[in-house]
Amino acid sequence: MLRFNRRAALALGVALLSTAGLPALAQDYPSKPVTLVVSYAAGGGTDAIARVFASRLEKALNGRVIVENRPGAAANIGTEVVASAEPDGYTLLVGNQGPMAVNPHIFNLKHDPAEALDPIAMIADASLVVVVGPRLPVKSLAELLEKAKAGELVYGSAGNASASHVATLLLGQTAGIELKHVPYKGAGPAVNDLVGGHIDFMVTTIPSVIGLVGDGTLTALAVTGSERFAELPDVPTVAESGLPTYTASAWYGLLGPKGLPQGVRDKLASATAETLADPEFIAKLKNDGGVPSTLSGQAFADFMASERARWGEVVKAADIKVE
Amino acid sequence: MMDMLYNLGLGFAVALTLKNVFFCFVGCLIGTLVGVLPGVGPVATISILLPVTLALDPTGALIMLAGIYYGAQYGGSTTAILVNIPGEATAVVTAIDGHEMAKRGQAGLALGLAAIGSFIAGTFATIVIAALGVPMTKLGLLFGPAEYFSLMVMGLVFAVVLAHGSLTKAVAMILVGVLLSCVGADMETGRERMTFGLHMLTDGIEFVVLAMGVFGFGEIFKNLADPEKRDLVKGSIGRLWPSLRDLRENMGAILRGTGIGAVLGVLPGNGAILGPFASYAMEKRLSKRPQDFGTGVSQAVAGPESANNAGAQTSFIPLMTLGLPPNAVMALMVGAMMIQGIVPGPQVIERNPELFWGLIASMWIGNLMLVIINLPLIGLWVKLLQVPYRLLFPAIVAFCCIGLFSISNEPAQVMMAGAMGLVGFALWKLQFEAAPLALGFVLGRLLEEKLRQALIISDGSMTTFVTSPLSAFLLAIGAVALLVAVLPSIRKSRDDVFKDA
Amino acid sequence: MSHEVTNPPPPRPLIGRERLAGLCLVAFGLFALYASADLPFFTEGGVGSGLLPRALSVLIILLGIVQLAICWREPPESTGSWPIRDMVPVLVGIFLFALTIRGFDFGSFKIPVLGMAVATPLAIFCSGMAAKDARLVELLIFTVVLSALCIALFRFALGLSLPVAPWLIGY
Repeated sequence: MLRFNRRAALALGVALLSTAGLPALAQDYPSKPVTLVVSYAAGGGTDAIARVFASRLEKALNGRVIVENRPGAAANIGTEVVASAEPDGYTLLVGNQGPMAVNPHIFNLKHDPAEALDPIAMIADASLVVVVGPRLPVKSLAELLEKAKAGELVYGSAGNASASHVATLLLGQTAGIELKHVPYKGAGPAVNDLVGGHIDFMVTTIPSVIGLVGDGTLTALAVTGSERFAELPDVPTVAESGLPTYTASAWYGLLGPKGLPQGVRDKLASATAETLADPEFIAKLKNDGGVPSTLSGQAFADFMASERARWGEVVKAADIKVE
Repeated sequence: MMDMLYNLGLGFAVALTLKNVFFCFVGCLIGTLVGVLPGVGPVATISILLPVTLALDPTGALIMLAGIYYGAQYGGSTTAILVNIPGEATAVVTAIDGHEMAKRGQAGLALGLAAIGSFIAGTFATIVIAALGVPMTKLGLLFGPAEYFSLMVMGLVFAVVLAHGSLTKAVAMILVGVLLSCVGADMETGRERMTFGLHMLTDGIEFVVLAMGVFGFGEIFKNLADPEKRDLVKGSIGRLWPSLRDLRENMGAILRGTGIGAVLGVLPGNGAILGPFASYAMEKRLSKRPQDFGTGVSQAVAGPESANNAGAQTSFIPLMTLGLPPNAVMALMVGAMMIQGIVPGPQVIERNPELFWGLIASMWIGNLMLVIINLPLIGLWVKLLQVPYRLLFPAIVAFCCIGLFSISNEPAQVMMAGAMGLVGFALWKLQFEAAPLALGFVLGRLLEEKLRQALIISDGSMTTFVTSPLSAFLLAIGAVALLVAVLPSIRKSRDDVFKDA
Repeated sequence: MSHEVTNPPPPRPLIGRERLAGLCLVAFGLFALYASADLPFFTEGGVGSGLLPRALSVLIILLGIVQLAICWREPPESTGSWPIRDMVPVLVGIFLFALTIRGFDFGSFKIPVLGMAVATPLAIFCSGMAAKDARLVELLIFTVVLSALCIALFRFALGLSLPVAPWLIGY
């Protein structure tokens, strides 16, 4: 019964869709829809950026771009999917610093992202912000560090090994203070507890708190990027606040499987550059606290390598390891 | 009061423009569709539509996305009632008595009561948001990890009340549910727990996989094993719409459910899921015939459905007054606002009053539309039940498979749900109830998360759960409810023992 | 547990529904205890990842024992028949869907990405064969119509990124 059924169904499938011809070969790329893999479930920050990026990239490439969510295993599944895909330019990855720069240090990965992926271009770089709630009425980062030396402060994060977590770890290590970590599932519930006065402070993405900062419910002490953020001109950077070596940001980039044909790579890099010059896309990025990047190809690869080395030290010092 | 009327007037002026009514209608329609389809939820739909909304004006975009959200809540109940597949945690409760009603030929009544209950709840919740939105925000902020943990404990106690069979088995099912919710990477250390090295388990078992497997596929297996029973479904189709008498009998349940749901909806982190079954527990407590609950009691559908819809709407309160999204859909709404250049937060009311009040007014209009869309559909749904079962269930299998696959584009999820179907069948054979399992599973996640967060904050001191007055109060309610639920059955079983002896 | 097995055999059903339920709980609890055995109970300053799973496992085992105790003296009730064979086509349909929608790699043997155009009709037709009153022609027509509808609905109307028929139309 089974065999018959299968053959019948195959025949049906063929009959059903026998109209379209075979796809043309990859000479005039793209000749079929490009799949953009996102390692997170639909609805997250990376997903939102990827979807807007994809809709712009479609115009620049003059072909369809489909976002495919492959969440799971701390975003490592998406990396794996793209690492083991055919390097023809039809399967690409939106990578961010979690799976690219932090995960290799804490997981035993099947594919090393630096070896198995070809960096095409960086998309954006988003600064984080240090905020305090009603439980810790301080006005500056220096004051916060002072209080932290006197007694352990409790900070929330968007999750174990998230950008928000490692950025706070780095802050603690740079300032030489002990902090107590409360992991949440995403920034939302953590910000809620910050506003409710259940935790002391947080390092989080700018859009997750900007409304509350504007209202005075939360106080922004410092931004973690190397420059001040346009919408928060009065908030200094961490570096300006007494920790000159400190920077941290969440970044996103476009990558493909190792061994992309040069022609395809160039086309994708120039399409990305075109997208990143689109004022509407820049405005969207700005709302997410991000600035478009100019790094592409080797420069992006070098940036990833330095990020990876940097976060590796932080994670090692904090003894985060998943066995 | 005058302020509120003025503001609502402004809102309706915005929401009743032809364009916005159209967006509201489209949203409700899409929402109903994805709600009815098992596995395809509002989160996936809204994120796919987000880039599209760039082209719309902010108010229209948000009105449409909000419509998708409550439309999906509504559509989910339809599937729960008709084919016993709760697409979302909140529909688990509706499925218990709702599907029993459908089996007895009262699908129309169940769907009708759900529609009318939801509409009444929606109307009430709209007024609550308009009048009490800002003060109610404070309520959500009172719940830190400790308070939330106690709330979950109370919720688990209520889950005991859901059971209509053996108490021991019901408690066991709740615990099994909590245990299953522990599977996956530990949130604090990232360490894998009980995953047996399977990739698909590292992020935990998906609720939809559990629900579609145990309820959806399990129901199909049940019917295949018992062909006589399944034909009873079509034995007699009762009235399509509820009569005035039905309405009168269920009005109490609807109003109580609305109240409970509206309050719990404000809680952060999906507190709204408690609403429907707090309502179920209450109706069972108040009923003169609690033993009938689980066999198709209309109040057990009307109350929880109202609670569900009221909660779905009041969960907009933290979003709109503070910019804090209480669940994944609301987080997407934040994204939608940001795309449009609106900073969600306390300033929205002052800076964009037409958006704020327009959205609130559109909720009421949306609820009206849902009734208009769905009342005529009831006839169609009931007709669907008359499709020969030999064709109905392969269709259900196909829809479930596609829905399961689409969650994370992972075929293993489909297989796992198939295996869960066998588990569901075995549970039925052994007379274990699946609803407490599902609820234990949903609450278990939050339970452990909040327990551990609270203990990190308190440096490992358990007293944190009683030193907070709110937390202590919730635990006390839980303890009392547990005693009330357990004592009679202990006494009874002891009587039985003596009787036998 | 061994105690239970050596129990003098009751008249007809060997174990009975209620006792089987109790045994299942005990077995599940033991299994969970085994699965969570490697997890730490406590960590410095908090609950370890093993505390809740293991505490729950023990409670479930205890409840299983309570369940056994309650029904100990009652005459065992039959669970009825377990017509697993009737369910096999449905399970096969579900698994074939999973194996074909995105393809599957068994190592030596690879199923290509066949997409919805193949996976959906397989699932519908195969599970449809489970009905005792299945009619072949009717089912075939239904399979074709419903598959087309599913593709139109999920892929094109809802815009989900599902593979349709990569071997034929490229996506």
